[in-house]
Amino acid sequence: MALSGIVFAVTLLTVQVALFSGFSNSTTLPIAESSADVWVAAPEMLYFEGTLPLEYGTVAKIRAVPGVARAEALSLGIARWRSPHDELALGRIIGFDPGGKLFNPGNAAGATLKLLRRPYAFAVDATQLHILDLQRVGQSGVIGTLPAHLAYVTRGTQPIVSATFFYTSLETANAYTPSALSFFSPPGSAPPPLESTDPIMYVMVQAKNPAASAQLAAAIQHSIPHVRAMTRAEMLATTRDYWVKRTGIGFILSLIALMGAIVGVAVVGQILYTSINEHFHEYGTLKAIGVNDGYLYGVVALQASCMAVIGYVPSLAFTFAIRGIAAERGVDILITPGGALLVLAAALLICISAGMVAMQRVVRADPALVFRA
Amino acid sequence: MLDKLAIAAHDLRMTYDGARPVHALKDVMLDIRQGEMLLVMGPSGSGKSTLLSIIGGLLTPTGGSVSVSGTEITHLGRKALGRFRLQNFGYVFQTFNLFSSMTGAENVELAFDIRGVRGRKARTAVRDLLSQFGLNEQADRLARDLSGGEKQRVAIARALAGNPCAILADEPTSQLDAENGAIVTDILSELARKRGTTVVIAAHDDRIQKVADRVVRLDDGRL
Repeated sequence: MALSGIVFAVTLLTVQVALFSGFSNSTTLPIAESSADVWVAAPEMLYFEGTLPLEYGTVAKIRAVPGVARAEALSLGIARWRSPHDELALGRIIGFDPGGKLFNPGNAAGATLKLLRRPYAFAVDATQLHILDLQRVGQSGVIGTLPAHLAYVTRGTQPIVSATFFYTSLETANAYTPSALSFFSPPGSAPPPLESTDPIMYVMVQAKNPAASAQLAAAIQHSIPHVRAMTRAEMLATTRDYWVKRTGIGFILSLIALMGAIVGVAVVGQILYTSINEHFHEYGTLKAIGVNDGYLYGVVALQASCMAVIGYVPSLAFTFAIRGIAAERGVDILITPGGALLVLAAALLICISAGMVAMQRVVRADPALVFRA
Repeated sequence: MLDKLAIAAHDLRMTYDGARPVHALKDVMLDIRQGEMLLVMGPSGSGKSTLLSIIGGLLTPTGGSVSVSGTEITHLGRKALGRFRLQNFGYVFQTFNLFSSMTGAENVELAFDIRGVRGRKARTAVRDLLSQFGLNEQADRLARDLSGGEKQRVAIARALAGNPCAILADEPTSQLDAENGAIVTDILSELARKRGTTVVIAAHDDRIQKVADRVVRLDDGRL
């Protein structure tokens, strides 16, 4: 009974921490999809989706900066999707160069990736198909007023916090953008190549020396006016911090994880308190014999640690087991080695501190009570 | 051996505070010799357990003093008193007070562990003690599965783990049948006679009265 309660409490904590980790990881998925060492954005950039456009011509300028091995554009736009059955959905268009090397959502094979070179072809994450009212590759809908054909399906590329990401070529993305002239293009015509003044959101940069990414970012920022150049780590941290620290979602998930810990403390504390009370006379006997408080605390700490570890193993197994179910619904439950160690440390801390509190009654007890049976 | 003073209680008074204060002990004077088996008798509520608790260093009296092997224990601090109990006393309880989820051997081993004796040395000592009380076969059984007599013998073995100068036993046979009561009485008697351990027992049991070196009677807190 005690053990099942502890398993429940630790599982609650493990799932909450894994959900928080998954959420935190999910917010940066598009950045993680890229192998770029440096990201260049507008100076006002707040997080991945919250930024202002650059001109496509910026890509060529960055290629000229010493130390740059490769530079590719990434565009972001808003999509109004209409399904084959006239179902509406809102999404984000992510345009990139399918022939490039710095962005490959879902790590698709070369041949698959090339499918996006076709006009109006796109890829989406498998978790988004039902939102878009799509069942299989090859189906088509409409974005804005232009056709949109599902070329392939990706996995693990959709942030939980974002509207559906439509991955497509830069040209198609530009055509879907309402401000582009191609918006008025007649259906059936291929989208035109980008011009230097067309809007993009990011320039992804591969450094000749990846170890010197920070120096390259500084050099780009120095050479190109009105841009913000960040290393990959800075870009990840900026976006993750925005979602975790500045939005209600991050706050709510942090709060839920904290609540998990508080409930865990309450449940484990109650269990250990009951357990110690049940053995009160036995602990009282040890006290009467003359053991010091440190020994009593040591006994309880050992008992609590064993309970924490025994409760931790099934909780971890349960969390792994529900990962697949959650992933099908687009929810990432992420258990990193660090997260697993954190939960173990928290479980130990919760159990030991609850045991110490519960032990107070024994420590304060009158040792003569054992003669008053 | 009986010439040497083991425990000396002088002018002991104990009052339990409350709406109506209870005077559990009134000016009790008691000298107990080393190796003596002393039986404290008296009706329920007469102060037997209180006397045992005070001379065993579990309770501080309201007045008077207790010396054990020449050490005045009534003025020792909580930690010092705990250490003193650990080194000088063994306790045997009416309800055995064993850890029910541990085996008989583990219960005794715990008493060694508390005193810093561990490993093979502790296990050998445990087997020796249990063997002395005819508990070889019961050593590895859980305490909760032992009979009352077996539990009390394990409890006595545990009490002897620190080789104490005195064993304090509160109604050690009251939960036992006649046969086991007699076995436990014999063991306690032998502890006094063969090992020279001072044995102080609070009980009503006539069998103990027959083997005790001395019997004192408490009545309404007075000896």
